[in-house]
Amino acid sequence: MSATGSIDIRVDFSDSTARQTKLLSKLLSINELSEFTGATVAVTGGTVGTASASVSIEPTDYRNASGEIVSFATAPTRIGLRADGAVPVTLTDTDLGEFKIASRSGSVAVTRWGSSSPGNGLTIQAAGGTNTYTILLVRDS
Amino acid sequence: MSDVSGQISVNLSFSDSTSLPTKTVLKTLLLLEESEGLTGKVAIVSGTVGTAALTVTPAYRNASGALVSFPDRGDSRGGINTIVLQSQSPGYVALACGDFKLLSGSGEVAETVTTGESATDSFNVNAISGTADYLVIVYADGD
Repeated sequence: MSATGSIDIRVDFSDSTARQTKLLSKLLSINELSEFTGATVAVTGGTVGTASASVSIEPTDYRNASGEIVSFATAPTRIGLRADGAVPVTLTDTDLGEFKIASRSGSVAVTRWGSSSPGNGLTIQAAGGTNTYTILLVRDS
Repeated sequence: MSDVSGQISVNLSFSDSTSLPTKTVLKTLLLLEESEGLTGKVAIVSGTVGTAALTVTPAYRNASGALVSFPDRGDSRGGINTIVLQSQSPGYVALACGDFKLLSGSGEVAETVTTGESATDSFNVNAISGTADYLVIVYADGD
């Protein structure tokens, strides 16, 4: 069982100033559009407080369309985090220390995972309260 | 004085399906963000880095020609609020901003918000091996 999909990220800013006879504008942009076929994907989520909690990826608690539990014997290559409320939620790679990302108020944090020998240790924690979160795990084919 | 306007759109969309004798089962997994009308301060930095960590303090000049700075004001909104990284080489680039760490490989975009506890006006960047080109946007929603 494999999945298809895409990661589409667009970060666009303009910074402008009006002069007497002209408008000066600078555009700042970083974009990615990556398409995936044959990927392994899973989603997990819950509610977290200030106590650090482990996130299991081997196996996850996600069942694919065939009803099979999805497990990552080696770490996902990309990972996304979205926290719903205003309390920041952090997700940390505790094995390799390759990333620590955060989300709050519906922002989505994304990073690559596994530049070398992939680990599988993930912890999640909220700062100063509780919040609900969703994690999307992707391993490219 | 310059005016900043921006948007951040993140769309992680995947589907996984299976065909059964009488039906197709489809599951869709989505993680979405659409942030529009962003104002505040923004800067862009690019460069080439090796495996030794390089500390970067953005030295971007806005449309008015003024240097954009991200002072750590010691409150929950101080320093850089959002950081976006893209490796522009085949290799991996790692970035650390306060407590937060991102990793990007070959055109991938990595992004995170930070929290006040990790507020800082600079970041460290390094290639995992060899040298790599990187592009970074930093954003703060304050004045």
